[in-house]
Amino acid sequence: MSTYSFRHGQWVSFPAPAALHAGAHRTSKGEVVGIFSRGGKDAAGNTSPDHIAVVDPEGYNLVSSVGGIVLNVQVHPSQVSAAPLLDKRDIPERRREIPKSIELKP
Amino acid sequence: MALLIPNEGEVQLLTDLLGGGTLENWTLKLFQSNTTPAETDTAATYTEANFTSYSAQTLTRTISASTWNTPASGSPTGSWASGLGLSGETSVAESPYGSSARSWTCGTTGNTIYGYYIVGATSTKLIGAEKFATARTLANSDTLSFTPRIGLA
Repeated sequence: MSTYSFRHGQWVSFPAPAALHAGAHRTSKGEVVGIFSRGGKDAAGNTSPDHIAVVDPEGYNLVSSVGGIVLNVQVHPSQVSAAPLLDKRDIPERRREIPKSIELKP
Repeated sequence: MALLIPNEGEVQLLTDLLGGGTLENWTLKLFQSNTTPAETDTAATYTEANFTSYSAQTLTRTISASTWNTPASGSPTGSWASGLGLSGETSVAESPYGSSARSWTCGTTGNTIYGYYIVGATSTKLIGAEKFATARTLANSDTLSFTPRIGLA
């Protein structure tokens, strides 16, 4: 269970066996990388719960096919021991495009 | 979900707020990449839609009935009420865009649309992005409509 309170859009990581979330991007320590998204109602009027979206090495959402239906791989923060991802080298390279004047927030 | 303002959008908005002067318009775009917005994003993170008849839309930086509506305080609604951690916040300032929803109608060739993003028309900075709770697959004659809104709490 996560003990942190995450911000919307924050990079996070959590430990998971290699067989779980196959194809996920992992940190140098082998943890699964994802993005915390605060749930709620979107501009189109649909709702979603708080979740961590697991990403692939390109930074896109990891997807899984279940019974022929393609679903985004996501977990609830209460299901894993997630922590903020502080080393930007662990972010998928395509999504590290950070302005020179900005550092990742701790 | 909710609109995410990434790091570079925070800088751009603070520059606008403190610098004043003529404000650039924003461009509203739809994205077809399965991307969850993150704080490190730039406009290049997203793959823009290209379905038949698609075009980005200008969000003019004025306050009027047809552009950004007069900001008003009110009780938190939408994602603010249900998820953004505004516990104890009883009033937020908010402005929707226009008197009707922004709308796109798909032509012959469609896309799956995962959300929208807003880019500075001249700065090209990513101002914000939101992924829809449910992706929309647009085929010929399908319409996608929503109303952008922005606020401060």
